Amino acid sequence: MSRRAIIIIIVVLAAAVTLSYLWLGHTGPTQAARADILPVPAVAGGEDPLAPAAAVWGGITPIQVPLSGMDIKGEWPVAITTSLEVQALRRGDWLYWRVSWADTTADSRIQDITQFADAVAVQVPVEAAQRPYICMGQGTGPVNIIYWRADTNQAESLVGGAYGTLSRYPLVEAKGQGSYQNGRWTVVLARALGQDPAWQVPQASIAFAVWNGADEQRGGRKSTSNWLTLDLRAGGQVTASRNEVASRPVARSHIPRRWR
Amino acid sequence: MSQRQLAMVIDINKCLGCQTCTIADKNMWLRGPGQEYMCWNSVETRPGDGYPRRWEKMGGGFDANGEVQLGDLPGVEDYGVPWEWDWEKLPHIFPRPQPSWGPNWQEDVGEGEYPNTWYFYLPRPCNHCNKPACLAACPRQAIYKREEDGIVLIDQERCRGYRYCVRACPYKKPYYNVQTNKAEKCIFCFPRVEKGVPPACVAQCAGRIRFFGFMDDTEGPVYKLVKKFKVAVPLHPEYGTEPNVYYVPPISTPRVGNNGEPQGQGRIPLAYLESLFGPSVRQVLDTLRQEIARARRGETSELIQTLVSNQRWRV
Amino acid sequence: MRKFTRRDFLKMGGLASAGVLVSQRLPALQMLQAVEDPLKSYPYRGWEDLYRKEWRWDKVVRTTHSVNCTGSCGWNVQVRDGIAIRSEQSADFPDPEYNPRGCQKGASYERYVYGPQRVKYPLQRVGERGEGKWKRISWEEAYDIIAEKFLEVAQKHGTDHVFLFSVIPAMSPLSAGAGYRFGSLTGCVVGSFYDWYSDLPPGEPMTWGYQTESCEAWDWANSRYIILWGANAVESRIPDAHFLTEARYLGAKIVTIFPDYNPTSLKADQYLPIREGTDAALGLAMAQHIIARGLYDRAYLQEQTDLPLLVRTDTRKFLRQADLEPGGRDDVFYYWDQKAGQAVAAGKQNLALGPADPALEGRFRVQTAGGEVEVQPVWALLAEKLNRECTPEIAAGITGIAASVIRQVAEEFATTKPAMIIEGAGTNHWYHNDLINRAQMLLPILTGNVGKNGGGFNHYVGQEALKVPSLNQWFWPEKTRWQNTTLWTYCHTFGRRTRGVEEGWMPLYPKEGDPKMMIVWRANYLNQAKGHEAVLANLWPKLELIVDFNYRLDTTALYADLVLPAASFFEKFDLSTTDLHEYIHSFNAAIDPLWESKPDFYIWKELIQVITRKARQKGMADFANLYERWAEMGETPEAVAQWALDNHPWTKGYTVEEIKKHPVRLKRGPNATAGDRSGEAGFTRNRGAFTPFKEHVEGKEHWPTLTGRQQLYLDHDVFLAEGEELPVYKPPLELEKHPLHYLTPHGRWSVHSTWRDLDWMLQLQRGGPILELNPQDAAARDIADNDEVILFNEHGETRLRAKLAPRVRPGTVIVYHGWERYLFDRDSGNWQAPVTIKVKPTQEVEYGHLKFRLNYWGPTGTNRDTRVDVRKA
Repeated sequence: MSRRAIIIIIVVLAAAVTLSYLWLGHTGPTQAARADILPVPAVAGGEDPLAPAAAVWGGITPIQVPLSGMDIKGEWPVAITTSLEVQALRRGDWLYWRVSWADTTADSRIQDITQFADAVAVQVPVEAAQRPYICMGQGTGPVNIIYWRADTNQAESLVGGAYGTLSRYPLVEAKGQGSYQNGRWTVVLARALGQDPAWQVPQASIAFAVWNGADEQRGGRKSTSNWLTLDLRAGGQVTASRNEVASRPVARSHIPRRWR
Repeated sequence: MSQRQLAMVIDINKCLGCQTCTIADKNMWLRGPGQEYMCWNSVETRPGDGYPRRWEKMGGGFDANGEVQLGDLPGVEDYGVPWEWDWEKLPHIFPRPQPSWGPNWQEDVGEGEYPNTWYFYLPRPCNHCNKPACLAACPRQAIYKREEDGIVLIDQERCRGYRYCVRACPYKKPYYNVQTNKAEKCIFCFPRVEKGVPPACVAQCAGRIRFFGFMDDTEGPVYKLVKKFKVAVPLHPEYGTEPNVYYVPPISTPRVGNNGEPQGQGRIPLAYLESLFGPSVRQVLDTLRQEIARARRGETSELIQTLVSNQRWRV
Repeated sequence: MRKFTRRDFLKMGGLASAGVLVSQRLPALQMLQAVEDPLKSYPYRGWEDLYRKEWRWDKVVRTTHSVNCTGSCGWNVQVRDGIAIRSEQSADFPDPEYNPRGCQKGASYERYVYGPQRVKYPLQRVGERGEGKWKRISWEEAYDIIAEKFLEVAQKHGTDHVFLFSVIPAMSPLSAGAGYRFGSLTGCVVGSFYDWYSDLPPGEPMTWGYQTESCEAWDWANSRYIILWGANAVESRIPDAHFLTEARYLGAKIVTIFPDYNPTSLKADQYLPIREGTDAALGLAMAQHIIARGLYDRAYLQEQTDLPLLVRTDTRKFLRQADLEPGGRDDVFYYWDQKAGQAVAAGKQNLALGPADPALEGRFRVQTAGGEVEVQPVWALLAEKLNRECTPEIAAGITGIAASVIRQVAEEFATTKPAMIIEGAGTNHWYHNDLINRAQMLLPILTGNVGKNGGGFNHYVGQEALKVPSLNQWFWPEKTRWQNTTLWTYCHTFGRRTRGVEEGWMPLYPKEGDPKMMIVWRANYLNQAKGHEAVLANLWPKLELIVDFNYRLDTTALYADLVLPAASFFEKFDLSTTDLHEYIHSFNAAIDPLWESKPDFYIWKELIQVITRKARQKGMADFANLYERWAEMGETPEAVAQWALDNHPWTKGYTVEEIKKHPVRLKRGPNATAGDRSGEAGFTRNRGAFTPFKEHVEGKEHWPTLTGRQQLYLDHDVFLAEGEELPVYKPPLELEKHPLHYLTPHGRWSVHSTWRDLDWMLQLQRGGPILELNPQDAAARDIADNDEVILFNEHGETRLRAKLAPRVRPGTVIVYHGWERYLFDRDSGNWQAPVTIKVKPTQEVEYGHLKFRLNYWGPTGTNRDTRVDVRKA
């Protein structure tokens, strides 16, 4: 089978999946489609998409991303966020994502030392061509994380190369803005592409994570997605990989064993 | 393990409960936003709930298998909400919110019926443990023990405010700062120590109760009190973190009858001291009493000379 | 003048948490190196500079604080970008035993310098007194108002209608003296403080002819037996309390005598839970036992005391030369020499007895001009009185301390030498404080401990010891209208006159009419006044102008008409001395005076210049040369200080420049420098530490009393009428009125009212005024911990929060001293509301060595004899 044939088959399958969702009751262009490919249409001009209510997002089809809970300290989240609605667009040298999820409490102000903020993050490889280990990447395959926190309502650009290595990543600029309405967070995250040569690619891997502050979620205690594929060609299409699902490690304490 | 270890001895028999250490520490490091509720070094009246309130019941430390335990996360109301006063309200000003708890709320309360009430002061900086539970619990490895002096630090760049250290420390000595979203704690005043100056709480102790230096300095007061004379013991050794702050336990004022008749035994129950300092406290108190008796007979005691010395640190 | 906001100051602190910590220089991915074992090594230590940068300054200035705590500590103020960011004890006293000196209050003083309490500009009241409504005025306007009013009062009523009040010159004598000298030169009334605040131990002038003399704290370590009697050193003498815990380690037995099991008792080998106010009975019973067991130092008593002097049994007065010879002297006294078998005049040369053997016991007959009379030595009268009235069994019923315990402590005190009593406000603040003092003093006297290192009766309440003595000449160039403030406040508040005033023993100003004007500086007269509510209601309205110089808006400032912004302790030069150590040291300006503030010395200087100018304009000759007279010894505090140092042997040879750099030890006593430092390694017992009265005990000089001896017998008619010619126990007053006894000890969280309103201090308490009571008394009144309660009696009501503490003796309640009025509710009085003023007749007599002198002899303003009740609010 030629490469072209494979692409056609996938397009047909994707269309079938999309149709089946619509048939199951999801109506209208703003409804999320279940997909593992996140298309990134290019947008020119208009208002800044950073505002969660920016009109531009109304014309972009969302996908729905399933999440599952994880924790590295053995304290599994109680309030798992099961799915995210995600949209993406490219405007000039910036990539934008609008992420939306249900959360019964807006944990957006940390006044007491026992409070944790709601948060959301987008994870992409530093080298867009790589698909590193999904949990914070690895030494040979670092990941770039755009992390937005509800209490600061700002995003920061971070880099990780293994558990416990998360650091600020000043080489990539990030922006973020969120709002909470009717039991849902809607947050726009943005990452500069700029002249980043590592990101002059048609496709890249992408993953999402959400933290529910009311459930003391922070660090490794969160809800995460699998790797998805970000399709940087307007209308482009690439299959997603599911192979990490089975291999995701059940993280345990990293405590040096010799004290035991 | 670090190559060398700085350690502190705190003589409870000399402690005045004046909190000059607490203030010296606050002046040194704790005047920034988000730090209002913090006393990296605290002094609590024992018996009592301490700071934060009921910290000994919050868990943390290591279990029998050496596995770090995540205890409870105290709220600011457990430390004491830092009250504020509105000076625009003169001629009458009040603390807000209405006080209901504070870091020294149970000052001089203690237990026992008059005239056999009993209490003493327990100053508590970070223990800079050999096996820091805070370090073990940090998923970011942002807590480390300095090779050259064993001081345990929370990296203020890499910390992301997860507060696992706060939960894991059985002494509740890391503090979360909501303004910086980082945990902080006593740093044994390393910038001073690096210049040969002891920590603020040691240098400024008006009661002259604190001794400081490297544990391997056999001529230093810390070595002498801990290793040579064995009169200084760690707080809650059962927590398994191997602290580097040691205490000379309190010698009791004797109990009295209703008309002041001396009744021999001390008013602080030995079992209580054992619950704080472990079973060796009995031997420690015997040693102290013997040496004081020698001093009363006019004999010279190197231990006593160390406890009253003008040379309380070598760094 | 620099202007800083509180925000500027706060910004200086806590840079550690300032936030952004991006290490731009580091290639970002270098941060991805995993930390293999943070117990072994850590790759990212560059951030540590964050804390290192915090511990730095542009300069360090050594200074001290002007607070009446007896600390006289040394502080290094760290100054960065012109802001006093932090202070640490200087720890530069030449003898390391004194280092470090300074407590939590001193360590937080910057918070006052930049705090919301600070008076920034001259303020004129625009609302009612105490309402807190002010108008900012210029210094010129302020001086003008004061000068005009002063000259008006002087012309219309006389300057004895102007009352000046400033406390404790030892804590900053140049700031105090600038106004004292003005008062002396103008005839203003200058109020006392040491007696008014009941810090004066009247037993000392009575017995020894001294105001107060105590050993330096180092001498505590020379003692083998220390009784802390009403002296809560652990709380109220923080810089020196270590000498106690160290003395205990060095083998001294520590005994504490307090109604509550207080923090000092934690350090005791024995605690005596005495019933409040019964201390004299305990002391006398101990004395009775010492006498009965023959444990006294007979030779010492024969030589040093009036115990061998003969008293006529018919008149109960001393046998005097005037009794024996027509035209004989009134100040020649007699003992019965057992060798000569006759009454012999006690030597006038010195105390040395030579071969004489004065009798202590017995009754003798002496031929007087008026016939034969029976005489007895004072000793015999004392012993008989004690045997009759105060055996340990009798005292046990009074004090609640078992007779066996009284005997045991008495025997130990008498046989363990040297032994000392450290006395404090806990026993000195009672109405019968003179009797309590005299009973306590009896013990070291009987056992020959007075005048010896490690021994004596050492009283530490109030920092009265001005150890640059020639400053007194600067303060008082003329005969001054000194005024006992207890009497001034009592008489002008209640419209009464006392016997001492009527008899002319004690002055009362003004001679006629009411006082018109008051200037307060370095003090908080109103907040600390006994009878606070009555003072505010009755005395305050009489004063047409109340002026306060202050760096903080305290209660007196709040209720004044004019408040002048004084420089803080970090903004001026002055000197400082204390009873507790033997050093002179200085204040130095770490920063320029903030806002429009000025040092007290310069406020007085400028005010006096304005008064002088106006007086000349008005042709008022009395004040035409006022400024020139005022400035005779110097126009700057440094110049006056140098003049004072040069003019007394204790201080001659020291320069202001040297003292600005470090403390210098007073040149007095047999070991004027560090003394004999032989002894144990590390901590050194200083056997040459200063202890008073060696000139009498070793040098055999007479004591400055009527009899020239330590005088236990006072034969003035008032004493005889009150039955107080010898020490005696009298119960506290008003025991029947209310069920609870009100105790207001000095605590660790304030020096009087200073620091009472400081956030950091309050955060380590309970945020506001509290009343401590025993859980039994609380339960009987349905009071739970932290409940709001009302403390009340017939004098006033106070609202505060209850703290339940089993250390408090049932039947007593404790409110630590000094809460500012504005920390209470609008409908509440302050902590002094239940306290009134009581004047004790024996303390206003004129008798031999007991003659009114400022802060030396005059009625004390006691407060402990106050009964109250408490109810839930």
